[in-house]
Amino acid sequence: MSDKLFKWILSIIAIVGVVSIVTLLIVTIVLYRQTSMITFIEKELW
Amino acid sequence: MDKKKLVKQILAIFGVVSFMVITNVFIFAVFTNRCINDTSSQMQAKSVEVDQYLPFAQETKIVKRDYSDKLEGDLPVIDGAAALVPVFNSLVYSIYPESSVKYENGDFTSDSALQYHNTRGAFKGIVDGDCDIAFCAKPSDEQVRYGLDKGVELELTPIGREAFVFIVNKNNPVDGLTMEQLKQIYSGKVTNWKDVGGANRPINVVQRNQGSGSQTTLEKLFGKDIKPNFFGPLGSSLGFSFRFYVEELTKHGHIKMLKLNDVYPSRENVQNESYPIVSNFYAVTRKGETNPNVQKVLDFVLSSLGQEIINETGYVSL
Repeated sequence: MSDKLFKWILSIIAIVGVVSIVTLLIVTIVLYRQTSMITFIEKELW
Repeated sequence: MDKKKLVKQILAIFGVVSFMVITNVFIFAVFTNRCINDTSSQMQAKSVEVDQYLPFAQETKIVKRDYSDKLEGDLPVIDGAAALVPVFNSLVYSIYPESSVKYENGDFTSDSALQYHNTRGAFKGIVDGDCDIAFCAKPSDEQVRYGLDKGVELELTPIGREAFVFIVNKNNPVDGLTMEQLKQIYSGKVTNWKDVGGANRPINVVQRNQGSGSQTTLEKLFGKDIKPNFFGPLGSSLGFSFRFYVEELTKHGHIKMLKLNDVYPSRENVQNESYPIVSNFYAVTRKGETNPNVQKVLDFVLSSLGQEIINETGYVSL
């Protein structure tokens, strides 16, 4: 694999990864504002 | 081509992909999934779906007590908090004529004497003249000020009592707190459950929307300057509500109510006043109300039959 190709692949993966994380965070914030307090506590991980 | 270099490149790609996937899975498991409203069937059953509490529907969950002296003439419009829907819908069944409640396409029509806009909407309705009696917890300072700004003074008639309770996940090893510990938690002085006898986890001080009945009660107890813990969302939550609203969930769901000063918020402990935080709930009206039917509704709520309805609905009578 050439260095150029390697950098391209890494860049694309990084961009897709960061976009997916940011999207998930935005979705989470939107959902959090709509969810009930009790639901949030019921589904807590222990 | 250098084989070692290729292996390093593949490992680097694998590492970055793994990091992204693990981060996404972590965020989803710890935060996103908890925000999706597909909770226990007990919680879903508890969610107030107004069409299940319609006063004159054939299938309804309300307590039905027949009363011969129905209201006539200018009927006061009734509204109120979600948690009190079972109460005021039962009262409407007893003293309002059936024709006064109109419910179409999942909502009350504008000419219906029964409405449902929850606490904030009901208080606004009282001030703006859209409703005449709101069944709610104590109004917030902002709600009182909103009325005064518009020249409307609110009159609060206590009609029942309820414990203000603190709730945690049922797996949280903490079973109770003292008032002093709660003060320290809400002022941000205690931020970890281990400092109050629990696990080594940050305390997530969750709050509700401004103006909701339980949020107002919390702020009246611990002030408005409630400090959320920055790392709280990574830890375990401390929530609050009224006993009636969560009691059934503690039997079958995934939450539990905490003892306060070693007293459990049972119905008996509300009645004998040994539980430290017992709040009244109210029928809120405009001061100087001239419609005589408003007083008739209040008289009925405070009568033995009205108080019986409150008890049978699950709340605690005066």
